[in-house]
Amino acid sequence: MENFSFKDEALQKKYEQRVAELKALADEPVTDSDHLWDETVRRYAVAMRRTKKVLSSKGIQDYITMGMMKNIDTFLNRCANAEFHIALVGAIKAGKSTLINALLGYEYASTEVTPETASLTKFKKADKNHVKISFYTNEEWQELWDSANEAKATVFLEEYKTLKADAEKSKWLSSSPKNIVCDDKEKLVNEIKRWTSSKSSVHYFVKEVEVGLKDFELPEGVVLVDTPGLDDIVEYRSNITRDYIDRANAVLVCVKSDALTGQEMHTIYSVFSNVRYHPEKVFIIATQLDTLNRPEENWKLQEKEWLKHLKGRGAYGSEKLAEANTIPVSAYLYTLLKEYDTYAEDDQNDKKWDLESILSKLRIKDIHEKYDWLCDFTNIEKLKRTIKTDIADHHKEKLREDIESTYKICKEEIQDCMRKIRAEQEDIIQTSRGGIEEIQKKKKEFTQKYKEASDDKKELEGLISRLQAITQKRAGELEQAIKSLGR
Amino acid sequence: MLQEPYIPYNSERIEKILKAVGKTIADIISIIGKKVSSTDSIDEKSSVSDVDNLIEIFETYKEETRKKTSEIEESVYAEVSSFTEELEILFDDRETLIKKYGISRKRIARQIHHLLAEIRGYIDNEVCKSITLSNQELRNIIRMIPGKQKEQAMNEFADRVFREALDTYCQHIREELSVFFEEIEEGVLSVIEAAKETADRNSRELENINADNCEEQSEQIIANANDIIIDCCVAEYVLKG
Repeated sequence: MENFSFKDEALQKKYEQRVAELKALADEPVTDSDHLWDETVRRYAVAMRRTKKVLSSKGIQDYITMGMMKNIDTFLNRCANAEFHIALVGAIKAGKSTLINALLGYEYASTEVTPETASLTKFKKADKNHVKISFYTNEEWQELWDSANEAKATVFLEEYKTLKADAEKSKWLSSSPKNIVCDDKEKLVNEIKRWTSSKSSVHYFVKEVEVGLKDFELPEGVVLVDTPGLDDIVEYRSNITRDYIDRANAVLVCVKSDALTGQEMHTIYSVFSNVRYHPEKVFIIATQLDTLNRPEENWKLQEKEWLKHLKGRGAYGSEKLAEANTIPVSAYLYTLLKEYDTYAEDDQNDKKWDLESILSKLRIKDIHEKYDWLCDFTNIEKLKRTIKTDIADHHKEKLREDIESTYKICKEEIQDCMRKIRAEQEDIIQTSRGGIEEIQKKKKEFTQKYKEASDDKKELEGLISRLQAITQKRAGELEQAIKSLGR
Repeated sequence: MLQEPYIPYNSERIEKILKAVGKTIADIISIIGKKVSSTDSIDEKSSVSDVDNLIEIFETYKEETRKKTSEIEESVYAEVSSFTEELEILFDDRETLIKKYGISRKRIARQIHHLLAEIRGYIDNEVCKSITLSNQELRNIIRMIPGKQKEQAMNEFADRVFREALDTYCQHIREELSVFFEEIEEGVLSVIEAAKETADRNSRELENINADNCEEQSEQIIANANDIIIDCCVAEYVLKG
């Protein structure tokens, strides 16, 4: 930066103050947890955020176009919203909740016999344990209600009546999201249950539940989403799952690890129909491995059978992919092993009996000797690694590449703009030092520039709008021709 | 003066393609109707092999539909490409002007790339999302006993799904085109507008200077200009990381 000096003391003081302010602004530490998912991205975001501050300061902001500011905001949003959504899908009692609990390291999701999930439940990392509940709007509820009546969803409608849910309707519909901070995990579990359980009247009006966890055992940015399922009789709700599957970065389909049933194939094929061009994002999770009579041997035989169906074109369309993306797990055994110390001495504890039973099926007498082997057998750690490498890291890489290229474009645009403004201002300084004649000449130049820019704008505006009109006319004709195909 | 935009499309060729596609699609729908009508009633309790067989019928249908819908999408792609090519020619012809105002060609290229990427695979994807066992209406059809009624229901369903997919596709393209032009207008015209405003502002700033106040006013102008230069330098410094 050039060092200027002014005859006027006030101006000199103002100038020095400005330099100091901007230096402080530029070097100010940015403490922002939004971009912590990647160091490179964080660096870019911090640089762009500081640049935005400088460009928004009085004086220069008059020279910055709205388009440039919009591009900076779009870039910063892209850096911040780095979430990798993993949707969990499964038929009733497919072991979805047990798997969620094993992945999260605590029994957050209810494993009761009645289906608990009627809305999307998102588990993600947060600074504080909390539950954030969003509700349907009146319009959305009307659609859902029509959908339930159209499908003659008797169970839904009868339970709605039994639970006297209608009396609560006006209290929740279209209300603002509710955020509840929970001091301990137990309170968190109760809150999740309160808003998602099919036995509570309010659950009908809950659109989405976000569960923020302080202790989150999955990689930064991962959002684990429990879905209501594709076979929900209320089409409006199954459509929510369907749309979500389409947008999610990965889908874990929970299927009980014994012989496949027609119903399970319904679910599996439905998921693949929704990810037409990305079968690789589907992972078939063979759950409850520990319930097989001879878990290891039985699964080996079962897996061969499964692959015959999964390699078909209605699913993976490739044997290799089907093999790679089918993961057998024993989530309950994993949880039993992790909690072993808490019940090992208690002979009356159900968990101890459950563990004994599984160990006998696996012909294991001494748990201590085979503890590591057992943990490996459950495959939960393998699944966590898959989530990290195949899902989170892979998507992070793609997102980082996109952010890098956007940053380069933004940076070039800003730098070009800065150079242009600087050249103009230097020109003004030069002129101002040249005396009244120079100034008068310059003024004429600016008037000329203004006129030129007006003409240039008019010309380009005209050309673009003519091109747009032709495009729209032709697109309209094409649309008519395409639509007539189906008539 | 720049020539008028020219869109080199061959409407006769496209109409021909679309007509041929329309006829084949009608045949494909009639075939799936016949095939599904001869299957036994299938529901969640059916055997895995029965479900597999049904899926095989659906997959054949989807594959045939994909081949044909991709012809429609290729026609749209060719059309939209010709629009974007014309836009690029328009900017090529105005290279000096683009450089003069510092308009980013890279961003325009990115917007074109994004627009073109939205054209292919859409109709097929829409059809697939409906021809699925999680679709309540389709589930009701496959549950029906074999026969003419089932065939008619399947024909009507497949026909409607195809029509709806076409409608959604057209709407999607229309929206994408509209967003594209909005962004182009914003990216190009707002830059020129800003240059216009700057010239106006600078001109007004110099307007108040006369022989009497020249020295004093000049110093103020220099101070303001210097502030802006400092901002520019800091912005560049920050961007370097």
